[in-house]
Amino acid sequence: MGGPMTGPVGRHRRTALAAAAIVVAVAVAVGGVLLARHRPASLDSRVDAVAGTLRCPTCTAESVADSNSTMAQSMRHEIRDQLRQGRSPDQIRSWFENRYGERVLLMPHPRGLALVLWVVPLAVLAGGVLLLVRGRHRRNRDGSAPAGVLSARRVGVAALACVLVGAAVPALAWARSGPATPAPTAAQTEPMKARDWVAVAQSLEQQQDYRSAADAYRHAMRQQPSSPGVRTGLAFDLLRSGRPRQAIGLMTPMAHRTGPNRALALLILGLAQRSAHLPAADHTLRQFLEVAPHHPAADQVRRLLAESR
Amino acid sequence: MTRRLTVLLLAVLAVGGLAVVLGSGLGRASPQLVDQSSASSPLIGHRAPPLSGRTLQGGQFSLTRDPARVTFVNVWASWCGPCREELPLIADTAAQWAREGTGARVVTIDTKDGPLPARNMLRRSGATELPTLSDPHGDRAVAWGATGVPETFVVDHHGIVRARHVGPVTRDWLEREASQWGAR
Repeated sequence: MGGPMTGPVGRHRRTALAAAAIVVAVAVAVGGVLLARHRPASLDSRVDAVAGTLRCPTCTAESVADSNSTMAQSMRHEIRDQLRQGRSPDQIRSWFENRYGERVLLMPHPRGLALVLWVVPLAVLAGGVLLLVRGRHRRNRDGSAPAGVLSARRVGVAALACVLVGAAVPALAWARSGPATPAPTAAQTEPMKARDWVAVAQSLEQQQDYRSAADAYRHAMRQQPSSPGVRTGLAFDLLRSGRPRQAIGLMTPMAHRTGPNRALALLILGLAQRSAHLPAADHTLRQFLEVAPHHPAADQVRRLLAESR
Repeated sequence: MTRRLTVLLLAVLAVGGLAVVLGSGLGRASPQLVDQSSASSPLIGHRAPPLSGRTLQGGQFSLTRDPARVTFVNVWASWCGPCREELPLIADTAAQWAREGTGARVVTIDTKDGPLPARNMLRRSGATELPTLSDPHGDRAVAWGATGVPETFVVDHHGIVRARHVGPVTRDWLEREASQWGAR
């Protein structure tokens, strides 16, 4: 059991421990960054990474990654296409800048006013460190004051500078993005209605892009969560884009409720269970045949059941 | 004491400088922001983005292969109210230009929409003759830097983007732009 760490030895030990802790923390952080860089990122996360650096042109202070507007969706689709073609994030950002101007970049090029934002905090930090080091050095040499003690006034000035610099960043960002935003026309700000999203989803289904169609249905469902047509549409597209378990989650309550939509719900649920290799699939499909023996899909379901016997 | 005064003076200067920069930033809009007015576009003065493909009418359209004296590229969707008002005017003006042989034409991009609602709207607007390219994912509209619907771009016969209009166009604007950029 060691004694309390007092006196010069204790102080040195504390300093050494603090230094070791900082070294470990930095090593862990650097290691984490390196690991993250070497792990191959999925296309979705690469799309999000680029979309997170672009400003949605029709939104207020939202990135293309955060916004659910039609424009942001189109831009994410374009980013995905360009990443698939092997274009780099910088090339993609430059492509958008050529069409929407520098304002589309959430992090503008460091020049003019933006350069001040970069340089001032760094200069203040460098100046502060320099003053601190020189002050300690002199006091150590003169023995006039214990090392590491700063005058209250200097701490006050440093704190004030930090607060001002901290306040400058959001204030400047606000100044850059605020007053001159063009007033959008009614058509640009008018949100799409559920029926518009359904039309988009149906169009995407015709192009056999079921994943995007499911996204469109999700928008419709946010506005009309209880619409059976929207729910079945979404479930069917989830199933067709390889996400049967999500389709099962959506269709199970509908399939147990009597009503005109029960047959379709049973059909989608049964097909989704089949796709997820769940043993309940055949039972659900037989229930579908009982409820709707003359449904256009009934014959196909009978064939499926015969095959699985 | 002198050193402390120097430090204080430097801090006051730094803070004052920052305040001046901030004040100027808050007080005026930067030129880049002003440049983003409703009718401007970074594409103006530059080569138009490629635009070609099969139209909803079943034909083929290519901006570069069949250049016209002036081409108006209109971005619309069947779910957009102002587009419903604008489309009959555009179709009527385009038909008149074709009859008079002015060399001006219109091609439209039907964005984030389905072919069925699009065809219905073209029919209701008397616009079945307007060559229309389908854009279900919106990437064609994005390639033109459109921020919404309706929007219209003017391309001269060299394939250079000359103007952009946000919101429904008027006949005056169409006629003026057509004659300014080389239509007869």
